[in-house]
Amino acid sequence: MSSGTSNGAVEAGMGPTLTGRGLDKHFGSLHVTRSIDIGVSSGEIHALIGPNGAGKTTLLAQLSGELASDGGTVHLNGDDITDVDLPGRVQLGVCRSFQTSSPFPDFTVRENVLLALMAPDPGIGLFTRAGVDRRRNEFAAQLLEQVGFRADPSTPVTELDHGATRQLEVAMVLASTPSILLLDEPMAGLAPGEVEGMSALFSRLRDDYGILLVEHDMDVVFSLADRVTVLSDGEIVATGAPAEIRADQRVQALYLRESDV
Amino acid sequence: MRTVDPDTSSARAHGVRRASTRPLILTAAVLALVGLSPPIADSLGMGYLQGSLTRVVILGMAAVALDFIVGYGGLISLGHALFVGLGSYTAGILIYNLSQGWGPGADQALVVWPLAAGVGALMGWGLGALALRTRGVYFIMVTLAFNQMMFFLLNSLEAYGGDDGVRLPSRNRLGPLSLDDDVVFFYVCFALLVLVVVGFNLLIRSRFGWVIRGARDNDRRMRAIGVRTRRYQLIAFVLAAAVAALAGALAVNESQFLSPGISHWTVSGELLVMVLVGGLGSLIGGVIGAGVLLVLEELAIDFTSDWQFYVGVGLILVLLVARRGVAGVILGRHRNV
Amino acid sequence: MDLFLEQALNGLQSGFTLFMIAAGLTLIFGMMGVLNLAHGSLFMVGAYLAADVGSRTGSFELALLVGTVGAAVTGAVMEVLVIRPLYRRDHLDQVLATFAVVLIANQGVQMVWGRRPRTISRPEWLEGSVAVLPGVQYPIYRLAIILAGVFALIVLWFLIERTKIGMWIRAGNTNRELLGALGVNISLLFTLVFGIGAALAGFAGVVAAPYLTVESGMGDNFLILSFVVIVIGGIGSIKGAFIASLIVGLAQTYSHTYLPGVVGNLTDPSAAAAIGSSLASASIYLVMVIVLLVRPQGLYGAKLAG
Repeated sequence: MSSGTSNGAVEAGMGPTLTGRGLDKHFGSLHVTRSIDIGVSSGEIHALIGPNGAGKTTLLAQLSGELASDGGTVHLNGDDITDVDLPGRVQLGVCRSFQTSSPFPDFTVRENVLLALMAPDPGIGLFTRAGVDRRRNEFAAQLLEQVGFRADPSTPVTELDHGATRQLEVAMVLASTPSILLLDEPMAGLAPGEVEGMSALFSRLRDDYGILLVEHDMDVVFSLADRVTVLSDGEIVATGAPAEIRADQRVQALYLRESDV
Repeated sequence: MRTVDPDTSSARAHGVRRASTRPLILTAAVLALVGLSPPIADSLGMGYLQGSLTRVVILGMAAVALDFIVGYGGLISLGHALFVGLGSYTAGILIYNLSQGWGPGADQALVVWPLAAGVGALMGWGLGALALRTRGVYFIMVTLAFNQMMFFLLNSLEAYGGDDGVRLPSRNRLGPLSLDDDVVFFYVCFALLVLVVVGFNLLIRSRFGWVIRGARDNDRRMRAIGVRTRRYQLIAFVLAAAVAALAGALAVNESQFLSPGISHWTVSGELLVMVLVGGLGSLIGGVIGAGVLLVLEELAIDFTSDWQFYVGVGLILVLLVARRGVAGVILGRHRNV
Repeated sequence: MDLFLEQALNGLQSGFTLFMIAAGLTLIFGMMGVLNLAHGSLFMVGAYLAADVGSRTGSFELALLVGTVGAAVTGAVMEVLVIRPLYRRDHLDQVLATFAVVLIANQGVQMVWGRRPRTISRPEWLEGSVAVLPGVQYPIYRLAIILAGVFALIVLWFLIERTKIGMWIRAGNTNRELLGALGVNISLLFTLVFGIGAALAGFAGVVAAPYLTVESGMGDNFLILSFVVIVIGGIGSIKGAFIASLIVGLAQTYSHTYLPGVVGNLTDPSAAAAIGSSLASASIYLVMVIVLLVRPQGLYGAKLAG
C-alpha cells in the first residue's frame, strides 16, 4: 500500500503512477490552485474532498490535460507529460469523467460506448458501416453490464435518466482502457442502490487501476478510499488515511464552517 | 425510459439500432428526379432550361459537400465559394491556353478535373489548418476573410480578364467524347453528383463520420476519449474543398466563361442558403436547395430584376418558420445518419 | 519620404474609418454574441442617405446628421425585426439571417436610389490642403476624418468606462443573466447597443463617402476587413480593435501604394495598376494568416482552451 507524504504526493515505482507537482492555475486574478502536489497510483483509491470552489475540478482538469497549468508539472510513471495535450494523455492511459454528464447527444448508449472503444484512432472505414463490429459490440455490452447499466442500450442518450447517464459516463472512461482514472463526482445524484453498485464497481477496479475520486458523499469516501486529501481554497489542508482525516481537527473545522456534507 | 425485457433481450442482441430507410429513399428519389429532368423538361417544351438543370447538378454537388462540413461537422464555412473559384480557374486556365498549345492533357477532363480537385484539396489543407486554429464565430470570420482574399487574387489575374473574366473556347473532352452537347455534359456531371452523394452518405455512416458528428456536438468529450478532433475535421474540410473545386471545374465548363464572380463571398452565402432550404444535415438537401433556388430564380427573372431582395426576405421567413428545410420536413425524425 | 508620410496619414485615416465600423461590430458581438454580417450594410445606408440629402439640400452637415441617425434607426429596426427573434439560436441561423439582410439591403438601395453609383462632395469648409510638415500638403478633409476617429474613440472609451450604460455593457459581456437579475431592461439595452454600433457605422459611411463610390455592396469589403480586425485584435476588445484597425489601415495603404510598382517591374506595366491593386487587397489577409499562426486568439483576446 502507498504511504502518503504530508503533501499528498506519492513515491514512484508502484505500478502506473500519476503525479502532479506544484500545480498552479490562475483565472485572471483568481488563484484557483496553489502549487499543489498530488498523486495516485495503481492499486489505490485516492479521494479528493473539499468545499465547493476549492479547486477540485480545476485540479482534475490540470491533471487530465484539459487545462494548461500556469505552473508545475505532471508526470506519468516518471515521464514528464506536462506538455502532452488532453487526447495525448488519454492515449497514455489517463482518463477522466465529467462532473456533468457529457455523452454524445446524437447517438445511443451503445454507440457512445462504441465510440469510446473506437478511439483514439478510429480511422476512416469508408466502406464499413460503423457500429456493427461484433467484438466491439460484445465488449461494449460487457462494459455496460460492468457499470450496472440496466436500460436498453439502443436508447438515445438524450432520453436517459440521470443515474443511467452517470453509469454510461463511467463505462466510457473504462472503454478508453486507462491505467489512471480521474473521476469527478461520478455518483452525484444517484439513488442509494445505484451508489452501492458503483462503489462496489470501484472497489473491484481498484486492483487494476489508480483512481483519483472527487466526491461529496462522505459515506462513500470513508468506506472506499485508501487515502483522502482535503482541498480548500486551492490548497491542500490535510492528507492521509481516512481515519486520520476524519479525526483531523482542521478538517472538522472546515466542514463545520462550511456546513457542507 | 425503456428497460430491457429479459425474454426478448437475446433477440435484441446488443441493441443494434435499425437505421431508417426513409433518408435513402428520399435521396434516391431526388437523384432520380434530377436525372430524369432533361427529358421531362424537353417533353414539356422547356428544353431551354437545360443549362439551369446542369447548374443545379453542379451547385448541388458543392452544396452537398458544404452540408457535410456544416450539418454533420458543425464547421460553418463562409468560404466554400473560394474553392469553387479555385477549381474553375484551374480548369479554366488550362482550357483557355489550349490554343497556345499547352499540350494534349490540357483539354482532357480526366486530367483537368482531378487536378482541379487536387488543387482544391491542397488549398483546403492550408487554409483549413489555419482556420481550424479558431472556433465558433472566429472560424466563420476567418473563412469569410479567406474567401475575400481568394476573390481578390483571382481578380488580379489580368491575363484572364481580371474582374471582367474571359470567354473559353471550348469545353473539356472526356477521352474521345466531346462534351459540347449540353445533354451529354449534363449526364457526365450527374454521374459525378451521384458519386459524390453516395460517397458522403457512406462517409457519415463510417467511423470517420461518427467522429465528425460526435466532435460537432461535444468536442471536449471526443478529445477526452483520446481522439485528435482537429485532424479529423481538417480531413473533412479538405474533402469538401476538393468537391467544391471539382464543381468549379464543371461550372466553368458549363458556362464556358471564366470569371472571379463565382468565388465571391455572396456565393458562399448562397450555397449556405441552399443547404438550409434543402435541409441541413440531410446531404441530399444540398441538391434540393440548389434546385429550389435555381428554378425559382429562373422563374422570377422574368418578373423582377430585384430577385436578390426576395431571396433575402424569403430566407428570413424560412429561418423563422420552416428552419428544417425541405428534407427536414419530409424526413422528420428519420434523419439521415 | 513625403510620399511615405502622406501614405502614413492615409493609413491612419483608413484605419480610423475601419475602427468606427469594427468597434460597433465587436461591441455587438462581445455583448450579444451575435455575428452581424449586415453591419457593412449600415455603413452603406449611411452613405446613401447622406448622398441623397446632400444632393437635395447641398448641406453636408445635414447629410451627416441624417446619415448617422438614419443608420442608427435602421440598425435598431434590424435588431428588433431580425436579430431579436434569433438571439437564442445558433451561429448558423444568425449568419444566414444577417446574410439575408445584406441581400435585402444591397438590392434595396438599388430599388430606392437606382443602379448608378451616387456621389457626395466634401463640405467647402473642409476643402483644400494644409501643410502638415514643411513642403508636405495633406487634404484637410482627411485630417478631419482622423480627428473624427479620435473623437469616436474617446467617446466610446468614455461611454464604456465611465457611464452606467457602459458598466452594463461590460457586465453584459460576461454575464447576461446577472443584468436581468439587476433589473436592467436587457431588450432595450441590446437595441441601444445595436443602435450605437449602427450609428458609428453610418457615421463612418457618410464621412468616407466623398472619396469612395457610393454603390451597392460598398460596405461589404469593410465588413470583411472588420472581421480581420477583430481576429487580429480579439473579440470584445475595443483596445484590440483600435490597434488592429490601425495596423490593417496602414498595411492596406502601403501595399496599395507600393505593390503596383513592384508588380510593374515584374510584368507588363500597363496591367500593373489593376494587378497591383487586387494583390494589395489580397495581401492584407496575410497579416491575418500570420496572427492565426502565432496567436490565434488575437492580440487581446482570451486564450482559447485546449
